[in-house]
Amino acid sequence: MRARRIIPVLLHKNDHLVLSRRFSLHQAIGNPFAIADRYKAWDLDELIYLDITPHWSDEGRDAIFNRYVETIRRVSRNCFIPLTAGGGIRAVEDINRLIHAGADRIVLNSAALANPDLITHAAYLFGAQAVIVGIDAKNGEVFGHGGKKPTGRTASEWATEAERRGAGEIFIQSIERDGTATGFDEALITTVLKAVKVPVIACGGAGNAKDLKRPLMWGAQAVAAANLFAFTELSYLQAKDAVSKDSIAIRPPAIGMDYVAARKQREAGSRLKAEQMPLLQALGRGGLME
Amino acid sequence: MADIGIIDYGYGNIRSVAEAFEFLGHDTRIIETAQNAPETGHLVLPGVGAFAQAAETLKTRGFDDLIERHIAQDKPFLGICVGMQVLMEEGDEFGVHPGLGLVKGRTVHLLGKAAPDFQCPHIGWSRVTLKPHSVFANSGLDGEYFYFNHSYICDPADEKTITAVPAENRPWTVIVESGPVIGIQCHPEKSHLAGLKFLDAFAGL
Repeated sequence: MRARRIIPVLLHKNDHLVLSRRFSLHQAIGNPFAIADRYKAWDLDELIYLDITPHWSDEGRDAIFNRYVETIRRVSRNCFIPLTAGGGIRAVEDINRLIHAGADRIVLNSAALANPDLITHAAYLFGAQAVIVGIDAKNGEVFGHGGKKPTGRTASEWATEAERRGAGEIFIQSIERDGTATGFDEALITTVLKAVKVPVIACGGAGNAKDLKRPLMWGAQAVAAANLFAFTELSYLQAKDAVSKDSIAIRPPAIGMDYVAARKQREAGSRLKAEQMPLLQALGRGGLME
Repeated sequence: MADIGIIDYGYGNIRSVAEAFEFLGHDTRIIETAQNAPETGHLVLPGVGAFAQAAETLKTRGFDDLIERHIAQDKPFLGICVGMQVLMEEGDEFGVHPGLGLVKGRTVHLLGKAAPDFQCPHIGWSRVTLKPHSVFANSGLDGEYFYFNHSYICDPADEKTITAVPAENRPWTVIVESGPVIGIQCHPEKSHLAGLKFLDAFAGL
């Protein structure tokens, strides 16, 4: 059996990383690269890096997306874990640019709602495994445009259609639970799990490591969380530890435990070393950087 | 340190693969055209995308000859993911299409080979068992988790060319080795420590 994934999410808005609450309150937490580097030094199963800058008017949209592509290009440097990008994608060419910039997979959300053929086209060009459809839902209803625009569709119905059109995975997010640390939305996630055969990533509401277990027990292949991992040192390892105690198969951390050395480098002002050192040490190449 | 040529045919995560080799201290050269391509000690064909387009593009751009010239000199060649699948004689994705035919066998849908309840696409980390006759048998990789992201797999005609399989589930091909030709289904460039070890071992061949 494949290991279930625990996936930290980073939200990017106007060139800052932000924490989000119910899709509306956004608090800046810092430079996009410093936090991404810490995550790369950890041994993550995957990193989801989404741009949530509002881009709904045509004005300024290209500039926002160009900056995001550049961000992904920098984040993907020395990123030896799977990197998933999304936000602001409107066409196949946008997907192509993100993948060329270093993303391994992409998330479609509002663009897929507006033009469901985009899912099929993307799956044909890049393979279904590279195409994730993100669904933001409140009371079971799907919302587009960053949780602002009601669609009148149910999450399970849209998930079924997305799968039929070629999506390789569904990323289901509860708008009401977002940033509240009150646990995952069982009704929403279990309905979507029942609606599709492809793997599902559950997101929204994780408040502690124990919360992460529940969607995995309901049948999700992966759980994602943003705030939970953003502030606490060792939180990712604690999450893996908590989940593995319930005999859910996960990939044990290989080197993440030894990132204290990386932290010292970061504090000494060397981001590059902070990012590379734990991995080089594990490879027995610790002296290479001297 | 090894000199690694990486073929850029428009369907690969070229940068990720190049960065992994560079991180390990190897020299890399991105090969964008088959004509006037530099001679390198090792050659890598990365791959993201679908079988037909990848195979077709390699042929129309003359990369098939480049690969054949490389392996005719018995120099190590590595195909990753779709870059592995196109090595087969033909593939099933979106209709039957001819591959490069460097390994005998076909590329087929995962569900035909894996257990019936296997969730497809296969996305995520799975443990890999290496067979004793693999050139990577002593690289400390047996039982390690690797990152997979695919719906199709290689089904080689000759059982002996299969040198790694998933540790759990029905056996299907994770690594194929046929002379200097090596293919790997997962993404070593995205498999963190285990993946870097694999790429380092390949560069050491």
